[in-house]
Amino acid sequence: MKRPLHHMDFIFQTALGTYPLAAQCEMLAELDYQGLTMSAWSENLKSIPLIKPQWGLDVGAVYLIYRPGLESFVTNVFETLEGCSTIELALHSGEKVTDRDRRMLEHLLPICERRGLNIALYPHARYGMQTTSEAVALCEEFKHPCLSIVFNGYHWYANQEKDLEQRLDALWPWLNQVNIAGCRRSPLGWGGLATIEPLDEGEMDNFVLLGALERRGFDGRVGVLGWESMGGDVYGNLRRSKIAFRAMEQRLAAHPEWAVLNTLPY
Amino acid sequence: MAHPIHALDSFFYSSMGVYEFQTQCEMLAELGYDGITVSAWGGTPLTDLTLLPSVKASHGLKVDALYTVLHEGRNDAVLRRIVETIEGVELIELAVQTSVNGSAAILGFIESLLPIAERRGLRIALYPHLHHVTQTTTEVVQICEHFNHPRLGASFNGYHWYASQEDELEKRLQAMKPWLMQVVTSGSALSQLGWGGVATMEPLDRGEMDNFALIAALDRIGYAGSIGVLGWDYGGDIYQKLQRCLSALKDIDRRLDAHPGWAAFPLK
Repeated sequence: MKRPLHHMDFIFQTALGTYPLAAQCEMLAELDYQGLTMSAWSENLKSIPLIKPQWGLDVGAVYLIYRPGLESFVTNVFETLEGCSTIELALHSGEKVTDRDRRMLEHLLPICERRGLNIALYPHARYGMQTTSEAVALCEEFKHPCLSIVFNGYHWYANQEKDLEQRLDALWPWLNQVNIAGCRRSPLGWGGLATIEPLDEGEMDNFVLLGALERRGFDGRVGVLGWESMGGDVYGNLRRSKIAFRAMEQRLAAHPEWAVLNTLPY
Repeated sequence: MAHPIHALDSFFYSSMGVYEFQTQCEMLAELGYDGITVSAWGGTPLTDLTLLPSVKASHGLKVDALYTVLHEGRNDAVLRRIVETIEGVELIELAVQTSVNGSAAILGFIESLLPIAERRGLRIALYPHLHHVTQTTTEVVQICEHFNHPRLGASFNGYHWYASQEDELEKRLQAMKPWLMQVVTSGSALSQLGWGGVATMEPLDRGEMDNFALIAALDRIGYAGSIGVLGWDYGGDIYQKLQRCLSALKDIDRRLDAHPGWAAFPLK
């Protein structure tokens, strides 16, 4: 199956500047991506409804961070978003998940009901909600049909949550979307934890990760995470990730058993 | 010249686990590798060693070597038993990582393997390894010269030569020439973030060490054997990394055939 491949728009926000929306979409379309995730701080949020008709790309989600003081901004995104129904929400109100996060969710979920939106909780290293386990706990606590989880392979790896099969089993009832990146644990990487690289680089084995998702029947879109630390020619990095992803996908279809690993004894 | 190319099975280890041996062989065969080195480590292999005799028939791959690690005074008997019983491989690579009783005991262990090797038609290749007791090519050559035994030789590992900063590549290879049984290499750059805080291990299309110049130097001493691809801890999508390594090595061989003059420069 050729599944939809999206890219997060962070990759276009480089140390030298941010590519204009038209360039972002033309590059993604030319490279045969099916869509993008837009960051909530993008100047292009209001243009989302124009993207599909003009470039044929889906905006699979908007990525948004809740921090104390951002209540109005976050609420406004939920109240005004058009052309996209999923918000990937990172929570960072303290060292761990706090009641502020819970109050924010209590506030946002009725807006979701009214406006036909979904929240996909986004576990994020070094944020209050860091791990898939914390996101699962919130989903179990709220048990709300508009609340789900986006599994981000990078943050799972960077957090060293490990036990991939167990983590995926636990979040499976809530899994909405998947994001991946090439990554390697390194003090030079994001947050001093791990690099964010094109999918053909890094230490984490995305073939194995995709295989574990496939075995559970995941058939949604996959988003690729990019960050300015990746550097270099953005188009070239997008192309490398696309080629690597399609190669893994094709190989997985031919040899699903190859993606089942044994545990190392150390 | 076109060398056969094999991969070390440690390529298939990552922080996420280890691929099944069957998958390792299927991937290597599909990619066009000629063989695999299987690790027995210090006596606790992750692969069922009884599978080795069937690898050629099942996958068309040669088992180029069995990699072993001596902790002298601790696992001598275990390794000796492996050498006594192993089937399906002819070359035993031996790294000496630690020693309880010192040089004489290490030499005693190696000596004890030689009659077994003679009887069983095996060869023992000493494997210089950074941060091990036998770290440099010079140290293993001295042991080879000490025994001067036709069943005892050495492996040249480009990564460990580079990482231990032995330098003088031509001279080191000339010294190894009478004993050279196996070659392994890797992409590598000196870096505190690399293995052992010394040098990275990377696919062969990356790194600072010039594998083109290195393989040219091996060709100049007449090495026609297999070249092994070292993989350790750089993981990722293993298949694509193996593909890159194979492609890089084949391209180096092709360029050396087409343009021998390109590598004809004095090495530092």
